[in-house]
Amino acid sequence: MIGFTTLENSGFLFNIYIGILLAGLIGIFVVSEKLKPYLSALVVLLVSLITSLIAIQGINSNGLEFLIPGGSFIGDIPFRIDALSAWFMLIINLTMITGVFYGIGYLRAYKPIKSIITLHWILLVLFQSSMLWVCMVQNSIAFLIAWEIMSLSSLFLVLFDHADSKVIKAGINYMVQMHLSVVFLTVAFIWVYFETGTFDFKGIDIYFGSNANLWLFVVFFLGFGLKAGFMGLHSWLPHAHPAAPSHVSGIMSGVIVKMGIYGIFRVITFLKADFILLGEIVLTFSVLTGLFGIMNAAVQSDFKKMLAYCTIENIGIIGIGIGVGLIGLGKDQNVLIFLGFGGALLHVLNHSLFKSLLFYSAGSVYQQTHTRDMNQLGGLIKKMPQTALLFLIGALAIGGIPPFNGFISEFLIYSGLLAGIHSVDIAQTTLMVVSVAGMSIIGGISVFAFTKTFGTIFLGSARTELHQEPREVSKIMLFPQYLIVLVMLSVAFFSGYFLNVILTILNGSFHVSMEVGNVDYLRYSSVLQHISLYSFLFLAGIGLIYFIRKSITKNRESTYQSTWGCGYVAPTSRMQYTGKSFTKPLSKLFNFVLIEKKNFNELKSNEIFPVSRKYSSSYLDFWEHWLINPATKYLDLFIDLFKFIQNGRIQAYVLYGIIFILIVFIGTVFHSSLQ
Amino acid sequence: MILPALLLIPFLYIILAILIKSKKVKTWLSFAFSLINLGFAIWVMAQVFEAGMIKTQMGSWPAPFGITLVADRFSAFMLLVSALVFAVVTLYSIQSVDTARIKNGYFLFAHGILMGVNGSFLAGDLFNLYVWFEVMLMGSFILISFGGERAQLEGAIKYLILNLISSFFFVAGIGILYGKMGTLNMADLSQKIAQSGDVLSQLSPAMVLIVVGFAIKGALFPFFFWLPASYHTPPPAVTALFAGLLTKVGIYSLIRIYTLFLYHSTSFWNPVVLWIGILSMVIGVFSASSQYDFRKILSFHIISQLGYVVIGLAFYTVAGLAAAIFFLGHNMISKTNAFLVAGWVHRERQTLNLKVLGDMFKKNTLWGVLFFISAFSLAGLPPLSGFIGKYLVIKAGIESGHINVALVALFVGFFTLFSMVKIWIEVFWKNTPPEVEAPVNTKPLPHGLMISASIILALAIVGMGVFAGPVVNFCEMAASDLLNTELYINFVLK
Repeated sequence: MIGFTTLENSGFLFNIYIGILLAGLIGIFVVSEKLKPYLSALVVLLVSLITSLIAIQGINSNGLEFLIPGGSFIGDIPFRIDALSAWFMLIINLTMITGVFYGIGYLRAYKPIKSIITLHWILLVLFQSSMLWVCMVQNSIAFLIAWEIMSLSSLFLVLFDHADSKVIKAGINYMVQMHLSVVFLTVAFIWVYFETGTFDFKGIDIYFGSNANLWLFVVFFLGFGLKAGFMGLHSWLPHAHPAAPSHVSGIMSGVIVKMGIYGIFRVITFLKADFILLGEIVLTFSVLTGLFGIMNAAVQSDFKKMLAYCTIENIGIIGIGIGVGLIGLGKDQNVLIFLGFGGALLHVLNHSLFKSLLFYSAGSVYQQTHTRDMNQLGGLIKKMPQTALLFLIGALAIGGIPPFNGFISEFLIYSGLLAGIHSVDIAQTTLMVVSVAGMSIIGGISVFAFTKTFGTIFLGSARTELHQEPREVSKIMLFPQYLIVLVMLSVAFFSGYFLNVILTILNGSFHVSMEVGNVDYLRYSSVLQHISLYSFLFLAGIGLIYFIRKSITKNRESTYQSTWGCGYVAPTSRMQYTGKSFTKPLSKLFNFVLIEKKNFNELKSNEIFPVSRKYSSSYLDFWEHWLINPATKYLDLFIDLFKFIQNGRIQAYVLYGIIFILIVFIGTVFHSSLQ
Repeated sequence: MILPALLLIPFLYIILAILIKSKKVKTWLSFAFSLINLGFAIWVMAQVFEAGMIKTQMGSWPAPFGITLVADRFSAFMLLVSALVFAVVTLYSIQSVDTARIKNGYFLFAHGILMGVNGSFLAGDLFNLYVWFEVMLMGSFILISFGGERAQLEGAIKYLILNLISSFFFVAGIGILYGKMGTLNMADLSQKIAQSGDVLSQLSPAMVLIVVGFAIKGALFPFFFWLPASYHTPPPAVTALFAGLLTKVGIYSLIRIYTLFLYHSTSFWNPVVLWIGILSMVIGVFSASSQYDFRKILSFHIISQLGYVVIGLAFYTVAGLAAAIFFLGHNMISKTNAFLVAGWVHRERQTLNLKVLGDMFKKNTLWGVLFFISAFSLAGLPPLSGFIGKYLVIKAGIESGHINVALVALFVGFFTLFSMVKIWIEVFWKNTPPEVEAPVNTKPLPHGLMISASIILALAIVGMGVFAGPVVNFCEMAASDLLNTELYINFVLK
């Protein structure tokens, strides 16, 4: 264990935090409807400020600990904030701040009932705190409680749009799967308790020190993996993310899935053996997750669903980093640990930034157009230029294109994989090579998918008549997005600073010692800084040319034709290339994973003048289609087998009783004859 | 002399209710009497808290011969909680139950049930226990069939038949016991059984019959079928009363005879009761998750939650029994409150079918919050009483080496949560389905008394959760009293 220092000061800050939280919750309940959003934003802001202070103290003091009395049942609950917790807490706070401000603007379009709005804001504040608690507490029971509050509050946030039965369905799906996750975690924690007799997380440390590591880790991984959305455990995610209001989707995708990643990291800090085997498992699984996620993302036509699948892809990338880091721990190679874990941790930050940005800008589109089907949109760049720009920045960042931040972390993970190729074990080398290939495919398809999404939504011309003319969204919605862009750029340009923070985290939370400022690590940051600089110059050049051109053409007359007009006399928007046609080759190539479902009436041979008919197609989720749906179907059938028991006939009920009595009588006879 | 008072108060009301014609007087008198009953229950509790046990010998006959009323810590706890539940349901009924039923003696029969319940908790011998069961059954049968709607009668008949069978088993068991041992005073019986070691195997038939009788009353697997078949038919206030009091008396009696007689052959009874508990828990919760009626879901959860109590008993440790007692108290309060909320929904919409309900949260936020509290208490979320109850049961399970049972209990909790969230979404959150005609009366009906009743219970739930320490300590003391059979025998006989 890492030595924690107990600070009176942070306990004091914690009390202030609890005070603000309680006062805020009551305040939101009490104040008038108009003030609720602003008060919530204020509470989120203050809570973020104070908990961030605690987190920064945690990083600086190499881990701090304080006890919160938890009644006579749980005993004192240890709150331990090491650098790992602090890192995740800071990410949560950042995303929550942008989310709550964006949410104020986003919800203005809704005119729901007062009680629902109150509930929404209260839950949002509670949601932030529950995530912070998950990062701070180190007692299994308290952890599970915080985890449960987090799941439930996010569930009710997802259910905001109560008029839509699909939302309700997605919510129930989400709830069931989150409880599956709790089941795995509970089994794991009770297992630890049974072996070590303590609910403190130190018990996990003791357990790993004296027992086989593999299976407990696997159970933990399943539990946390469900939250994080690894392939096969992901099926709640593409339903829940689109169903939620966009600021909630942004927060969910930005940070709630990262709580699963946090859990995995937390367990890794206690791990004592089997590193290489586990690393290889996690790595393989993650490469598959990434590929699966991005392929599905590429073919979706619902743009929020597309972003949800893209989250799965990024979880895959983070998982690749974790796998590399685990292998590094096993081989005791600090470079691998740094590149793997460091890349993964940085990607957690990066993904939370650009994914929330993408969800917010996608939400702006949804707010203005009331559709999530990109094939009904088009040409929005003219109506919503700022949103288009923000979406584009997000798309470039997620594709790992410099000078944006996605590039930095993916570069680290790539370097980790390349460094891992030098291995005496041929299987491991092969795995690394395959992973590099997998990751480059992921990156390629990712760019492809976002080209399609951006092109279909923002370029070209409008494909359908919308119920109202879309306009640029309000400033309060745009401002948080610019803030995110600012942070993204700072990550990209000051990557050296961030890498040093990462080194502190690795030293503080994992059993390694890596010198801060060591050339081995910093050479990566100098490479990164150069790349960022040059690509920034490139972008600046483009900007410069744009402005020069604009100033030259300012006084000249210019005519605009519709996009892809191509000289036709009467061009229609239906001539445009659709998103679907863009991805058709890909879906054909991977048709063993991407299951297309078409709805249409076959043209009969004797139909000479066919009337107009509809054609639609959508893609089914491989795992849901082949695993989860059949499993639930058979479970249903199995449960139906028992329906005859409760049949409403009183004779039968009496009969059951008599059978039972017979059994017990026979039991007593045998029992006494045995004695 | 305060123990007989608990029987006389309801009896006095019954007599007054026959004499008084005015509906209003009858109603408020009923509430007043329920408060007096609560006051006496508190008094008993205060005395027991000091002395540990109190008893009254009716007619001054010494113990094995006369009728004995005994209250130990367990009884006092049950008396207090049931008095609270009864008072709250009475308050709720004033507004909730229709005039015709009140005119025809609704409160009279409700007090009949109270008398039966109080008597059962105080009974010191088996035959008296049987008598009080019958008193309770009479009152409850009238209440459940009161009004005579078709569905109601169907449910009532199922209820009656299975409960009569239960009484039959019980009385048959009592007959065998009396034939063998010549006494029915529980303390005396326990002592005699303990002294004559080998008699026990001959008593097995009687014990099985009695246990089955209680299991039917307590709606345990495989005897629970009458409960979901009948609980959704009467007026909601009646269901709330039944859910809070009736099955719990069966469980109380099971615990009582377990600690007095059955503990001699725990090697046989522990596994049997454990399995009864596990199957009740699991089957109850599974059946609930496939239901689409508010009250039916809650009814199946009664079965499931009684399973928790019974596994607590089957662990047969101080911690296990204390958990069982706490859980019993918690469940009486939380379950009743959930039914009270259902009653409000029924009053507003005339139906409890989840498929046609919706929008109730918009209609009244406070009721939504009250449902939140009781449902999440049932599901075992902190800081409500259900969390403490479940935590104690699971911890007792792990500590007594039943780790698998503890895990099952935990997973049942998740399913409970699922059902509760389902109700929340379907009833309170989603929009009323468009094909359903919007309710005609958009103006909310008066529900001031109903909601204050529910708030009292909600406060009790929160209180039991937040200030659980003293309650749990008390339950532990009660449990160790129960396990110390000698104490009970000596107290009653000397």
